[in-house]
Amino acid sequence: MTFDGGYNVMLEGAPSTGIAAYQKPEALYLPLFSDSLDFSLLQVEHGEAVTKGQILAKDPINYSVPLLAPMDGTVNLELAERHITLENLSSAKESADKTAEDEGQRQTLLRLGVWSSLARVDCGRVPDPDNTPECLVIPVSRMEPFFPAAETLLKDTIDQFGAGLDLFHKMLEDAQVLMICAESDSEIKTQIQSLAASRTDWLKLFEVPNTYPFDSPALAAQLNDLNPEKTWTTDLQTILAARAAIEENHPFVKRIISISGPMADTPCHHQLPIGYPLSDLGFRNGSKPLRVISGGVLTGATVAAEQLGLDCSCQALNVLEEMTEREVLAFVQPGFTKRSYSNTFASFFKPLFKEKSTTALGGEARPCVFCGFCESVCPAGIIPHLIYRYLDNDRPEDAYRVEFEKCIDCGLCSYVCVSKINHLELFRAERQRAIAESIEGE
Amino acid sequence: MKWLSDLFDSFRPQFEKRGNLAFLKPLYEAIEFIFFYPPARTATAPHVRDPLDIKRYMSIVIVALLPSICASIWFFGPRILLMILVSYAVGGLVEVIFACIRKTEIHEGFFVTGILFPLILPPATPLWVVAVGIFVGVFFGKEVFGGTGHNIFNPALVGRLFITISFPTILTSGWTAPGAWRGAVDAVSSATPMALAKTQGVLTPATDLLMGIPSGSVGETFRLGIIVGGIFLMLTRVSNWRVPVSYLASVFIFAFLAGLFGWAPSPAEGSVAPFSFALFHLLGGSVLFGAMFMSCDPVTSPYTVPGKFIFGIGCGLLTVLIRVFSGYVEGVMFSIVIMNSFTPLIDHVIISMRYKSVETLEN
Repeated sequence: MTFDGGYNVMLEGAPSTGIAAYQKPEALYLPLFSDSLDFSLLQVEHGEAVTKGQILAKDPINYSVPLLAPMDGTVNLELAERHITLENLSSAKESADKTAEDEGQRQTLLRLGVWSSLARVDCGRVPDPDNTPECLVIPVSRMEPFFPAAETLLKDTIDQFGAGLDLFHKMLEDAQVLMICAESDSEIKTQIQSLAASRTDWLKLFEVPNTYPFDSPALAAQLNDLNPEKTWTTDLQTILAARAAIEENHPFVKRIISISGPMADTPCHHQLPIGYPLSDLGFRNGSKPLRVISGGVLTGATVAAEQLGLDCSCQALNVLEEMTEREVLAFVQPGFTKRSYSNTFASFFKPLFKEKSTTALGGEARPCVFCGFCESVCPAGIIPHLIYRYLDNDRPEDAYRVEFEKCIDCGLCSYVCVSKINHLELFRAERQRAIAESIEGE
Repeated sequence: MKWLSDLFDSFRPQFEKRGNLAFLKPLYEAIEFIFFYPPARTATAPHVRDPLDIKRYMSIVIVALLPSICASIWFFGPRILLMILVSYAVGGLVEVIFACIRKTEIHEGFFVTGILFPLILPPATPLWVVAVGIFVGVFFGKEVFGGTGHNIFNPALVGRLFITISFPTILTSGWTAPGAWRGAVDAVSSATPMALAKTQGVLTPATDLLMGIPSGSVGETFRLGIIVGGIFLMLTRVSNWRVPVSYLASVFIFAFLAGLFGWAPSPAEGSVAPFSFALFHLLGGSVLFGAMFMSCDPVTSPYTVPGKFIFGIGCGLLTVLIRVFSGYVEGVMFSIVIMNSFTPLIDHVIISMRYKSVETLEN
């Protein structure tokens, strides 16, 4: 198999593998939204006392996936807009009496907040619990800076993980499972290999170069000739959470997230409840303006100042410095400290190093000059500048004719663009439009 | 640099919306942004970006041209600096006027056009001809198409083509011998190697060509410097190696074939070996300069990978055809301009073949 394109953006601030302790919160601020969900259907009232795992709100568009109370507490609906605030927190005694007798496993996952962490590869939406995929793709190694490390997530839990995989395989009616793993040898790869060895008929290991974005489930689906409409994806934690939900009736209300990036004080992992106050994480107090990103620095979304707590689908927070200083004669400086996809900086002569990148655009927006960098870096083998031109001229049908649907949303075309064109933004807008259209069609 | 930043700040209100000089805002911004980068940040993902921008991208081309520029001043005197100055002044004026009328930024592509143009002229070209040429090149070659990124022809070549046809006597009599200005050689003007080869069948030795001893256009004589600059440009990925390499390879192969078939003009005594004929055509004239700096202009050459090879081979074939069979001694300029006009067609065909059902495609 050949892997074309790809590029590693080397950033400072990779998270250390341990899980750091965190300060107990005074209150939890549960956002009624996440990047793909909108919990518009409230299930509790102001002042109501709730218990851990109780449903606070539902997303009616996405199969009524619930927002769960991570701890016991009192609901306050008036403190912050578009948030449910949980006050008077207390750690719950585990209540195991909620199981409905005739509930199927899929319903259990839905009720305990696990199902919303599954996604369809073709559109990124939560899959229909009544449907069944042909394959479940799980990235083990993550190449985008930065996501929780598999070493941390699977430390001491590899057996539970195996049990979780068995469970998914059975629940999804003998679906195949594909695990994406970097080629380089690591302890985790050996463990995954031994898992696969005893499940050879349905569990496959897909080895990829240790280059971004070859961990992409969409790309893995393309390279393995899987039907993207019948391929689902999820992360390692969801597999573990599914096992805990089904075997022990545990709601999925605590996540291990990585807090990393050049401006993170001590880049590490934390296990935090949903709604954990972002202000308690300590990165909004510094003197420099910072940008907090939910997800990786290439594809993630800026955490808005209005968002007070962790949302339910956050896997990673990355902290960058907002660029404020104007560089003097930047284009004639040799550039020993800047890495570039091109070889136009003196850093070309230095060995690989990690950069303290900021949110600098690095230049002015200009018309495309057909330098071809976007095409050569594209892992999906499409021509981003051509597709951009079609979409920009409002000709989406032409964009699909040159295989826009192959785009895996990695953002490398925008990263390398000399003219500072943001292909990714336009591509995402078009995908949103197409999804909205297909929902209307249904 | 605080004082300079303060200076810009004090002038800025004049160029803002209600200021007296609001119509000159593009010029003011262009100058300010050369010294201080605009504090532009990413708005959405990807939150970090590659540090390379168009200014540096274009500057790299000028760096790659430095050996040629320095050599041309050594060979032809400080007058070359005047030619470059006129080219930048007149071309820049056209660029600024268009930006002000369009109310857009001044685009950096002009920095390359402005330096390339004087380098492809005969060294004795009168300054007013330089001015006319760059005016036509920037105006008709680029701006009327919509500016940087939208032009079909290489603007510097459009200017050169215009003055070649308009002022044929001036353009063919301006071949100053390198070093003549400081008395290093006796002859003030001399025939170019291409003319010698065509009329008398005399092939200038390769080492002379590489070191820039015979006469030629301003920037094309010191060929060693062109090769170094061209390789530098390819290594930095600013120029795509596919066009220059296929261009040069096809010139060599087609010239070799021409020599093999006996189409090479024969000298007074003896005959010309196909290999030395091919080597002469590879190094002689402006093939190297054209291949390394003109043909690989990303805007006017195909963006598809197979298209780049077709483009390069087409340039090579046309160059040899014009040199061997036409009345002109040199064919580089014509071949690149002709292939420029085929660029949209080449891309269209390649894209249609790759994605079977593409019906309409505009450049």
